Amino acid sequence: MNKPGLAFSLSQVRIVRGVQMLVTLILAVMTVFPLFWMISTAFKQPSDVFSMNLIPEAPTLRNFVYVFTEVNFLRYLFNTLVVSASVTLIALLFHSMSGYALARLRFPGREVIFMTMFSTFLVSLPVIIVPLFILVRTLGMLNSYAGLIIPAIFNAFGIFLLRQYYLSIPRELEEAAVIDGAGYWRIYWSLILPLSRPLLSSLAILFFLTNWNAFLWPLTITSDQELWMVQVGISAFKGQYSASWNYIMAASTIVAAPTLILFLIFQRQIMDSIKTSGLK
Amino acid sequence: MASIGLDNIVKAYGSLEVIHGVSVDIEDGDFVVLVGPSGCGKSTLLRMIAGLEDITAGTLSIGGTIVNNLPPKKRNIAMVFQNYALYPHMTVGQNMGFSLKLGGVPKAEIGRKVQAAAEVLGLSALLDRFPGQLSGGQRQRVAMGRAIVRDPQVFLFDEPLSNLDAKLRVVMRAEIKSLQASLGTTTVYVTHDQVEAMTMADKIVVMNEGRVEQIGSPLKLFNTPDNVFVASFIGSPVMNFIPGIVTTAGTGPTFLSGDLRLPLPHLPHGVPKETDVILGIRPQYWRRDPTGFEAQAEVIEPTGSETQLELSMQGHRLTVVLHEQLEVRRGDKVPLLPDFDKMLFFDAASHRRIA
Ligand SMILES: Nc1ncnc2c1ncn2[C@@H]1O[C@H](COP(=O)(O)OP(=O)(O)OP(=O)(O)O)[C@@H](O)[C@H]1O
Ligand SMILES: [Mg+2]
Repeated sequence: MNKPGLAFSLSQVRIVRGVQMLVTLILAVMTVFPLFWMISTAFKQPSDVFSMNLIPEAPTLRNFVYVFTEVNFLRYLFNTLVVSASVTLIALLFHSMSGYALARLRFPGREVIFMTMFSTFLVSLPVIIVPLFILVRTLGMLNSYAGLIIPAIFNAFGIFLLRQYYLSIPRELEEAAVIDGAGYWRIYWSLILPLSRPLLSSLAILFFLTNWNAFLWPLTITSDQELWMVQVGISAFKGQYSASWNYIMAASTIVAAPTLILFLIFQRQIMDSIKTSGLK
Repeated sequence: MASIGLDNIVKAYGSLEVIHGVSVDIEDGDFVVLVGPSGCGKSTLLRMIAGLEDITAGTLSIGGTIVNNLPPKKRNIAMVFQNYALYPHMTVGQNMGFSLKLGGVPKAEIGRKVQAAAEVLGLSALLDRFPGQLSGGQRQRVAMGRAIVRDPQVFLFDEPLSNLDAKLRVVMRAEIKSLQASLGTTTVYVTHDQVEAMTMADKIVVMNEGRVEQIGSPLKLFNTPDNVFVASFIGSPVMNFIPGIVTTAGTGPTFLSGDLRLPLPHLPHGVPKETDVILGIRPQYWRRDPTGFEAQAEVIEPTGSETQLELSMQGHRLTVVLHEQLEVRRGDKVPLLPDFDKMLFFDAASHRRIA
């Protein structure tokens, strides 16, 4: 950020500012444009899909009606909601407990356990998807909510962030609670959990959105259409109705709506979570 | 309220021993201050009394019961931390009532006790605020409030005033002292500030490197320190120490140190002649006297009612506090006479006081 200092003349500062703003604007347009395109296509007639105007000539709601009536899209939405909400809730509870344990309790093998968890950062889902699939199949969780929910809970990211946060809580605070007569469980519940609320809400949003948009894993383990999640459902459009872009875009708009609303409500927390999860 | 007994307490972290057998008896209702330089083990000792650290060896008793293996909550103690350690997500009232709530005290009674404590500490108007909305001094009071609502047997303080500015520290010092006096609760108070120790304590425990150097009332430590360490730690500015010998050869009893000759009115009792000793004399125990010894002023620090001087006397550096306003400039000669009755002599090898 340039402050008009001694080294820069006012006109130089203006030019730099102008260029910065222009670049930002271009990037913003490039980011937002596909979104507008999606919404616009969702309201277009099938015949207009490839016309270049952003405002549909004859806007229609038929695509939405179609998505809800001809396809079991409500069911997909319901599945997605159940899975995302469960993963988020359970993961936050377990992650904060294990994060606390890793930060504060002394037990043998603590560092090894932490490093092992941490090392899973290096592996992405596609890398382990086959063994994970075999594991889940062996456990008999194919085509079940359990199969959708449980593997998604195991994620080092939340544990790591929470552990780092708990390490930064002054020990004296917990010692004061010990002297006040609190045990481990009480300290966790009455002190640690409330203190981590800002971080937990950031993580909640992050987890929820990630699972809301999950595609690869649900696709891998659910063949039963009754258990499909929205992204799987949308991708199935592509196969079934090739080039029915108007339907696909209508469905995508429906899926994007909650995330958009979430973003608008929780803007601040989301920004915070991005800040804390990124490089400090 | 209770007495506290520390008997040969040892603390080791792994193979590193940091407290080497400390024994202190604290009577019921006493205000005891643990004082010593940074890292000497004050906090460790206090935390062992609190139950936050294990005791490696020795016995700790509170109210006549050995509590070595009791968890903190069973010891009926309250502790005030240096950084206050207030729960940030609870209001002042909730902070103060937390221990009672955990103890299963009925809500109405908690409210009553918190009110009463808040009244004593002048916090009544702040009960619904959060710690983040309080000044340092107010937080300090809340931390004390949290301690007194429980009506514990023992108060433990770990440098509670070190985060406050100098003025507030003096105010809170008096407040803690008078609160303790009115409650009559046995108190152990840790500080590295000897002024705090002198002004607050019934009894001071001077520690150094994990050992007790001396235990006694503030004036006892000031007047008759057991050794050089205590003599230099207690009192401000620091006592002057001059190594030398006492001799009667020549004109009569004299303290000799290089070119410095201080004739003594009589041979100090118990000081061996012609043996290396250390003479200790406090800066306050000098006065200006035309018959005195000449010293050259090097640093002059007037504080209004007093003048503190750094001087050089026959090659020895000397700090002197004179109870007068003085027009002296750097380089001026000032004739000074020590108060012979207040001189202390220490053995040069063991650093123990011999007279
Ligand atoms: N967990 C620990 N592991 C190893 N050594 C420790 C530990 N805690 C404290 N010590 C050591 O014990 C000694 C005493 O520490 P303590 O905190 O009691 O000092 P203190 O007198 O309170 O000092 P200060 O005035 O700086 O607070 C120090 O040398 C310190 O390095
Ligand atoms: Mg300390």
